Amino acid sequence: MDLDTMLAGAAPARQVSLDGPDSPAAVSLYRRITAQPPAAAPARRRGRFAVPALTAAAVAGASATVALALIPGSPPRIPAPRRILTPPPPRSSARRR
Amino acid sequence: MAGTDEDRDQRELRFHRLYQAYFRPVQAYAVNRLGPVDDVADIVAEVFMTAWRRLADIPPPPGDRFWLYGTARRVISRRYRSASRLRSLLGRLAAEQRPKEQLLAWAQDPAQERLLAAIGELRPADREALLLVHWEQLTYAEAAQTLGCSVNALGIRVHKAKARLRKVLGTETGGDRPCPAVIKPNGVTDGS
Repeated sequence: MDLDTMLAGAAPARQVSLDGPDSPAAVSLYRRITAQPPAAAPARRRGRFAVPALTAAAVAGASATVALALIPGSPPRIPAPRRILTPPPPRSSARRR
Repeated sequence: MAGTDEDRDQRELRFHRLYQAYFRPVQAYAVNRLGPVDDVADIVAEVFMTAWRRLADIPPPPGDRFWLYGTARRVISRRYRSASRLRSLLGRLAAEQRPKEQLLAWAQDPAQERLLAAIGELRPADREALLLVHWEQLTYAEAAQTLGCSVNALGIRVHKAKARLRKVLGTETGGDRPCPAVIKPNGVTDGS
């Protein structure tokens, strides 16, 4: 037998009787579904993507900062403490003479 | 204006048309993937629940049908994440889970038993492509739209699936016959 014919004949849905949309079970399901208010799905989806995006941005920022700090020759991020300049001791006049 | 009674009526009218047109095809899709098991009613309910929630995302006909099939595919794969469990379901389908009064003649055909078992052993992507074309009767273009792949990729998957089936089932299925997967630009297929 041809494979296409065999495939067509083997479809399980062709072997059983399926409920129509007007069957009692289908009508009951329809009523249950449409009794629900329209969901605010877009808002939930935005929130779902916002948290990972913010986390990824924070991780990327931290990684970039660490990478820049580790590059040799990059300017030090913490300035060195200033040396406190003390005035030179006064030269003795006897020596000068 | 969102949220008015008129909007609600429009929304319900669209959903009603969708439900009337595709209740049976979605049910057939679930039966074709799982066999006539109890889960089918739950899967159909979840698909249409999703459709009601995301009505604004559903494309106009004929794309709405493919959207529903795609949703049904995701619902089923979420429920049966484990590939081995899906395989065992298909194996079960090939064995004893069919209502005997409806499937008596079919169950007595060992060739179809072997075919179902062989379908269960295909790679999931190849199997889905094959079944969309042969069981859901979609054109290659429609099946590609459902799976979100190119028509060529779909054709290759179907071709590979059928070659594998021919190899497993032997020569009675015309295994030595060449099987060109010719795809016309409109997605209608010849010869495979």
